[in-house]
Amino acid sequence: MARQKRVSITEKQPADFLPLTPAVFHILIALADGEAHGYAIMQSVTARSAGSVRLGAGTLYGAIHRLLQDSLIEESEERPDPGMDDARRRYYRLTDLGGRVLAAETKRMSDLVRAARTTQAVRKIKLA
Amino acid sequence: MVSNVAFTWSNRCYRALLSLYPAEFRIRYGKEMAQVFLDCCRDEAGKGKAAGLARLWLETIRDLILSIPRERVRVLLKGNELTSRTAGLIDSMVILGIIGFHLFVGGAGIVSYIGRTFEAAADSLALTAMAGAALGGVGVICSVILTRFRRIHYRFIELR
Repeated sequence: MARQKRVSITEKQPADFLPLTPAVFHILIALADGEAHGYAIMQSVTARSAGSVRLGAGTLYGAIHRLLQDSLIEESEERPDPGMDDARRRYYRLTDLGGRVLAAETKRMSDLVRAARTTQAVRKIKLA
Repeated sequence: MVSNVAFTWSNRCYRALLSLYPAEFRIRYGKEMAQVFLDCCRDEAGKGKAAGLARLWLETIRDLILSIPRERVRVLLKGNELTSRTAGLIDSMVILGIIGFHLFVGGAGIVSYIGRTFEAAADSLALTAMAGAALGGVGVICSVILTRFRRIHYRFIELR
């Protein structure tokens, strides 16, 4: 009982990580469909945001470092295609906690968008 | 057309700039970051436009200016988590510092223009150089104090 209580205190819940920074949210989305290396994450973020978000290598690996420390992502041991791949690259994938944090942030943002849509100002813009 | 020389020197320069990151971060991610930059360079070289490489460098410099202080502060606060709010505060301070410095240089230029004399222009140039030296000096003093503080802090922990 006491052990269970200790575990529940130390384990972080998805809500503890919210709100996510835009860079972290984009990285988690990029890893949602499967594991990827740094450059693939960078390209995915640029493509998804239609070029409006461009992560630099320093920002990307700073965020990856934090995500690894928080156990939201992990380094993948398997190589998707060893023959075609550069051995220097490291692949990252979402953990179970990372997936739950991504889902929680997505819900938080969609609730926020829904609330914004009910306001008169947004409705006016929509009509215009 | 992006020449091989520009391509090679870009990579060399970027690898040299990576040394500004804290050692721990550089050892862990340095090779990957260099690989990512190389991939970005190849992309731009594939497009065959020199402007693309220039844009990549502008984005990289902005990224370095923001991420190096953030990682250095993370090392200083080792043991304590660097929250996204603290990271945002560091970014804001760096940006404010850069804007402030540029405003100062611009202000000095305006003062020299209003004065319209060679002496005034020379004075403002000297003033700008002095301010730059003073800023650098403050930076050195701060880093020395922080290093000393860290040593004292560690010694205190060892004594305990």
